[in-house]
Amino acid sequence: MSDLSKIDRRDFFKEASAAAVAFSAMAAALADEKDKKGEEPIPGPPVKLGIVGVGAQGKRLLSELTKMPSADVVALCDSYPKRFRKALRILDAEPNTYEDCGEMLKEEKDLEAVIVATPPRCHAAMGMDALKAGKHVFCESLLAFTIDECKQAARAAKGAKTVFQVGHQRRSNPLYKHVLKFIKTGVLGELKMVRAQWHTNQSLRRPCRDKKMEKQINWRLYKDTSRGLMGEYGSHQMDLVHWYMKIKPESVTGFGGIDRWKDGRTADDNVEVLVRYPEGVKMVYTAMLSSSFEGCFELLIGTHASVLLVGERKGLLFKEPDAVDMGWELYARKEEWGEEEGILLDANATKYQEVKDGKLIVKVKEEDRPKEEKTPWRCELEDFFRSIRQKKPVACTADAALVTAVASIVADEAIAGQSVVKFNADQFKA
Amino acid sequence: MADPVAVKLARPAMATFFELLLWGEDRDYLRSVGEEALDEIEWLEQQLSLFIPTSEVAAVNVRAGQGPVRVGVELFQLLRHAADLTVRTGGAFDVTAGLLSECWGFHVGQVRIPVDAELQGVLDLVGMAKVLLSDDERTVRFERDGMFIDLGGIGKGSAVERAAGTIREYDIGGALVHGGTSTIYGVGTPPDRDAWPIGILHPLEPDRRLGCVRLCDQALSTSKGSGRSVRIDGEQYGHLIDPRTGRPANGLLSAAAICPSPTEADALSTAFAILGIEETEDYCDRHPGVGAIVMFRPDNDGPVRTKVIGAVAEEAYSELEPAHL
Repeated sequence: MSDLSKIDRRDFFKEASAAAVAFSAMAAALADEKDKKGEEPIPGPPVKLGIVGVGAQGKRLLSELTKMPSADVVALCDSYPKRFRKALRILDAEPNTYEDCGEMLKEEKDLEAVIVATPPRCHAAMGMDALKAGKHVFCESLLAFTIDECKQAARAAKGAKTVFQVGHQRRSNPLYKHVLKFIKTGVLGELKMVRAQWHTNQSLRRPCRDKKMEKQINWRLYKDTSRGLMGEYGSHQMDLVHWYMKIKPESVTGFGGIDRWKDGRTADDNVEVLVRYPEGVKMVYTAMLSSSFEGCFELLIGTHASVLLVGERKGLLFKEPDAVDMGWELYARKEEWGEEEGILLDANATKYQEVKDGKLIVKVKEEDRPKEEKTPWRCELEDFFRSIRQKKPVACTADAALVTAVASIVADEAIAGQSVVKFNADQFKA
Repeated sequence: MADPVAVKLARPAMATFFELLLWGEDRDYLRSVGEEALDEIEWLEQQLSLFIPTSEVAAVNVRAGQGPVRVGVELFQLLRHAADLTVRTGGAFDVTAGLLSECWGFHVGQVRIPVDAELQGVLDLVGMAKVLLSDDERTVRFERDGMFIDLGGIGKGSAVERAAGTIREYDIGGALVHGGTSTIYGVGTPPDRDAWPIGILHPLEPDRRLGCVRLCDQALSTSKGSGRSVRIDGEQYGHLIDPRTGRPANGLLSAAAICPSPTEADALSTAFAILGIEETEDYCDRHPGVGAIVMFRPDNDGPVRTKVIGAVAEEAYSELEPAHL
């Protein structure tokens, strides 16, 4: 790959017409990066919330909610009351607690919104109950456990007057929104393949001595309570492809197995999946619990460039050697990734335009102040509150989540059957 | 009763590795307890790290100079604890003192001596008393814009403490937890012994063991003193800045603190390295639950000497090889 910093500026000015097209498209994309609305405070009184499910994910959301002026958590619900102690410590408040979601909906008349952070088996029923009770709903991914449940939930959400948002958090993440703008300028060329992985070196087993509680506490480890690594982690990364490319999968196949954590679980501890999309796009996906090397990333591979999104916090652009120079990259920060040098795609860097030698140049300037960013969970919760108070379009609708949930569920089934499974269009319709 | 089994787990966090050793009856159960403890450590790092842009500390450092910043319970309590430690150590431990290290060029590895006016300007931005904590609102505010908080001197200790607390909630035989080997905590004892034996290394020759500390529900934390000293204009300067004066502290090669709380041990080891022998003795006199082990070279020359301070340290430390205990 050429050393961009050494290119003679006169040389790239020579490619006037092609470069100018690239410049103006890029300038348009970069001109107004900061989402101004995202910086204004959310108007109106705090949203009165009930949280159903205060396990690991519920606690993560609570630790954000306790710092958000738009959130007023008035009720917690969990079928395993021992979880309340740690949840209350994080929340630093004294909401009412319930063991039954229906009871919470009945008793808490002032509730405006419900967050469903239970295992996916309960998502459809609880989400629909909350909608029926006239509440806004934030439902953690996966939308639901079976395709039928997903369709029911999507129909209910469409018919409801309240907000229904699904927790595919990348759709609310400024980095991912920023990268999408780049991709829309055609910088990738044609997208040919998406490689993604979620690798960690953990068993995911939670401590449980009482055999009767095993399925409640370790629901992730069993096929009848979990859609496995595809349902829990792969779904988020597949959702990215559906969102960015507006495509739905055509067919899927894969393998899985329990190769390391032989502790009585039935859910696979590793999956290797291939998904075929229209227009020659393919996804190659692996999730495993035996290694943390390179962790979690999505790599969007195109004919002109590839974009690497790492750990939901960093984006790097790698241009193919024969791709057209865009100009602004001379001023952008670079970072090494293995043997390659990538251009950092930074949602926080400010950009300004300048005319030099009759040509429009876009320069990238780093913010001088130290950085503060919001976590992905804070971003998606803020989007939820903005949809409620400001009627902002929902970050991830039930219809969008339906596509991802069906893809994940069918992928999970293809792995179990070790077969190639074709999707049909009806599966994605509510 | 079956023979006990042990499980070892590790995870990177806070620019080092945290390691847990747990022993008990059931390997899968031990692992699940260990993973929960490691998750807590990772979670704490996400809140406390200066270098993670989504952390609460990052939010405070960016905004607290302009107005109060709401933080979570963990960070708030830790800041209260840090403030209390600043008072108790007479200002030797202070999480706002990072600006002084920057001022002396330590963070870029190019040490230089700041002029007095510059140093005074930085000292105006240092001091835990200038960090205003509101219990009612759970907010943090800096009296002056430009201040910043670095929890490096207490973060590993608090993570070890959190991990140990999690482990204690479950019924296992015992455990050893450490962060980067600089802060170590023994939960209970190993099987068939009455304490976890921890080797104390020579401050200048890392392959040489000088002694051993026995830990049972106790923490040991070690701080380097003038270990990375630099010579400028003929004067020797250590890398540890005394927040009270803004100038490098001199004298001790290393200082270790022993007490029941890993968070306190972490902070106190830094404080002791700055306070020196007499003030450390004074501190341990006033706080009987705390002990110290300091290493120094009299007149910066000759063999390394060890001084054991306080009954807690006297009981835990010995110069024998651990195998002989």
